[in-house]
Amino acid sequence: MIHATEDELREINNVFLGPERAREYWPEARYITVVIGFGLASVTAVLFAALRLPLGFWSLAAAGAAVIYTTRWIGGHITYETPFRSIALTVWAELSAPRLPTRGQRTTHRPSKVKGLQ
Amino acid sequence: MNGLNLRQVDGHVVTAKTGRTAWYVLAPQRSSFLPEPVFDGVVVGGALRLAELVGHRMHHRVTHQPYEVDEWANALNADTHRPLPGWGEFLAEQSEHLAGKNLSEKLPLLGVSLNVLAKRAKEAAEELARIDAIVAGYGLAGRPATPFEMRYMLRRSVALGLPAPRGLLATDQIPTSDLPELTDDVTWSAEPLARSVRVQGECDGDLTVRHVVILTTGQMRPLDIPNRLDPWLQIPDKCPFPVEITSTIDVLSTEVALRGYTVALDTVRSQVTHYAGSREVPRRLFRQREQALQAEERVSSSHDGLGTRTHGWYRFMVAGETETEALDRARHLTDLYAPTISLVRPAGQFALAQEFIPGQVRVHRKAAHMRDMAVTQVAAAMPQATAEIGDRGGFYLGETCGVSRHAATWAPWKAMEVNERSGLTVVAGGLGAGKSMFAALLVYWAVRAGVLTYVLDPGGPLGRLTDLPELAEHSRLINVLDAEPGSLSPYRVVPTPIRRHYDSEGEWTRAVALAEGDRITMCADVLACLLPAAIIDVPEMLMALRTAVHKVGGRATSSAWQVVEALGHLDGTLAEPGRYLVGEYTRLANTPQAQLIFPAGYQLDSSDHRASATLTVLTLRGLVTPQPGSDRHTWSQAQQFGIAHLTLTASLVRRRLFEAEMGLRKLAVFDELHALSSIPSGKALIDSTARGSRKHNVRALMLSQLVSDLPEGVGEFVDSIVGGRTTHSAAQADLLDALGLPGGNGYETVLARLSPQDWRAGARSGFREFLWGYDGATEKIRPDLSGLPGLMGNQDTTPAQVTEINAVRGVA
Repeated sequence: MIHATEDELREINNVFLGPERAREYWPEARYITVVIGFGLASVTAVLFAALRLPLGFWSLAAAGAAVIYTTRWIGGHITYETPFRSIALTVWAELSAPRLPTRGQRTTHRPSKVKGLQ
Repeated sequence: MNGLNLRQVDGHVVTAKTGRTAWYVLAPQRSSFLPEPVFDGVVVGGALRLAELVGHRMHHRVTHQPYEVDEWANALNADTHRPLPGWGEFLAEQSEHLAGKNLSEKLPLLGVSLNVLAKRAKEAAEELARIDAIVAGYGLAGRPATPFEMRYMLRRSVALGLPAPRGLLATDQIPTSDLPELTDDVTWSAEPLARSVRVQGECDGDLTVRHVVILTTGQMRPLDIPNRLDPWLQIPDKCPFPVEITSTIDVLSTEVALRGYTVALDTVRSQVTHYAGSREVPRRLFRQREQALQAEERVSSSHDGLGTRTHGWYRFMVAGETETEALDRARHLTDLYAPTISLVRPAGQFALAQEFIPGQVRVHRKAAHMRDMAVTQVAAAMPQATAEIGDRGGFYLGETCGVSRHAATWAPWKAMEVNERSGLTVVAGGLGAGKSMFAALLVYWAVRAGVLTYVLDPGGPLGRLTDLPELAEHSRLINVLDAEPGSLSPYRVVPTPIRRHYDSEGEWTRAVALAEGDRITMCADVLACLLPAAIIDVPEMLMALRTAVHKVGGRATSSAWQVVEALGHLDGTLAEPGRYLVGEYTRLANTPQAQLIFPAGYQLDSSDHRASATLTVLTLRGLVTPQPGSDRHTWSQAQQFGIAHLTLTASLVRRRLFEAEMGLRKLAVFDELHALSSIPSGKALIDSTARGSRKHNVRALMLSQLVSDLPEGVGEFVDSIVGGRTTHSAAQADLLDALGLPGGNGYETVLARLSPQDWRAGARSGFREFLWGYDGATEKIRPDLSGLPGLMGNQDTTPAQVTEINAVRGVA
């Protein structure tokens, strides 16, 4: 018996080609990436306002480049196999995992039982 | 480890913060060498059961238990009635050897979430009973897990990757107060973005650390099971290290599944519209639309439940003493699945590892690496598939070496004593397939267990078994060709029925009459066999011979000489042929070989000739038998005598077996089946041995290159088949037919590739492999002589080894 899979069906690339009149200049991006981009841009704007950063050309260009780079980096990790929510869950799981205790444990030894002191 | 979400274990129901789950142990399902329609039937059965669980969340949990060597040894010891001295030490050695093999047994569990709250007791009980019944149905055959199995599974889950626990209590219940004990001495930790989870715990008083790596299933190609792929959750069984499995599966209702396709179709439609007018629409979108429509049609039109869809997350755990070892093992497993199924190692290893603990986490429906499958594909995963074969508590023959490693143990007399089947086993295979080695292994175990054993091995290596120091005292090696005159008298070798073996006088009288008839047939056949075919083909000659034999009768005290005398007294038309035959037989009778046949031999039975030895090996050194399938007209006189001697010796063995105490366990090995079956008496001998094997508790091994050497009609008495490497197509077809495997499905290649030789290294393979068909199952096994070094050296037939052995013995 051959068991067909429906993996390809779940791989629908839901892309946004840009506004109808500006498609030639709009980069092809998935809706989720666009949403993340807007979200990061908003967060950046809030940060600028909250930290009272100067709104000069270079600062805005740097912020824009950082938003684009971060958006592309996050977008690269979001696939139909690993949706956005699963990445958020994974990040939380990584942060909340217990770590190996690195601090030494305090114990008491009687000098008479320590080799070399007898 | 802190923070276990487990709250209560009540029977087979686990209550945790995340909900209640009932756990079942799935019955082992044989999958190897199963005809495709039968396999598909099991898959469909399992799929239908899963479809009945719509709305429930299911979990597979596969763990392993060490092979219970002590249990095996105790069972075998209890089933061994009169072993030879030294049996206890021998069994202890073998137990140690087997324990060193690190063999394990799979414990496949299925968990089904319970949706009704426990406080609604009546409805909850009804739901549990309904699920119990579904899981017990055909295709899953699950039973509620016992408290011990629950405790074992929980402990293995918490102490993930650590060695199997020993000395767990087999209590009726797991008190809630016992639950903290599961986690007390175990610590899990993981560094940020670590590739593994560190698990530390106490095992037998020692602090043990393991690094565990979790893999999950990624994309899958179409799965052709069982033709091109084994059941896909059985594949980890091929690994030389344990792999633990867990899965979470949501069985979707039709509405939910259809909603998913509707969303997919809407997305495709929207994308096509979006692309239209500005850019070329990717062709993939059309393909996806087509697939969505077909899938929607399948689900909406499926009224039998086989179209039911599932969403599942399938995880695999491998452990190592170091992270590097664990990662290497993970790579090994990934390679096993490639390219059909991709396995990936995702981030968040700690969270994934927690999925192995029942009730610890609830996998989110948007979690990564979700697989959307039909119930048939989930059923074809078959985590309960096993390669086990044989009888528990039997002789240890070796290991299965197909999909997974299991101890292959065999209780050869169970078929007769318990299952009321015959005891005929055919060992077939080409030259060098290892037939004699397999027979030697079984004979060795049987003799150590004190089983009365007769081996007819005309010129093979089985005679050397009597040289083994541990067997020498209890064995005899007899070269029949050097025996006393009359030893092979055709009247002597047919057993005389013993009165106590029969329930009534009438039955016994009939058996005596039949035995006399057998003697007459045997004598006629043997005397005919001694003459050239051209003479015996003359009807008058054959008639004269038969008349004379009938005149002599079938008494045990008769002799072939009396037949010759009777030939001389024939009258009428038979007088002349009779006189001619007298001349022929008188000439033959003067040859040394004929001295065994012509004189009466009954007087030998009154001597101490039958002094009992546990092992008796009868050889016929110097015997010449015709080539298999050769024309009788081409046989030389030596070959004619060879056939006669072999048949008569085999009859003598049968007599010894049938005259022994009926219920006593007996083993008989007959080599050169092709020669035995070349004359009617030989065929009758095989037939009667097969038929009488159950009644006389005889396990009879027939060794031959071809299964077709077995006389017609005897096939139905074959209880088990051991098939070695076979390359000839006709022989392969016969062997597959005897094993119940269909031809043309690639099994011919399997037969031809048994016991592979390492040609590049120029070395012979150090092992032999067989297909063993027994009790409705067929598995590939590899006999293991490594725990019996004496036997291995004794039976090694390579010229260099034999020369070495002879040098040690001082043989020139």
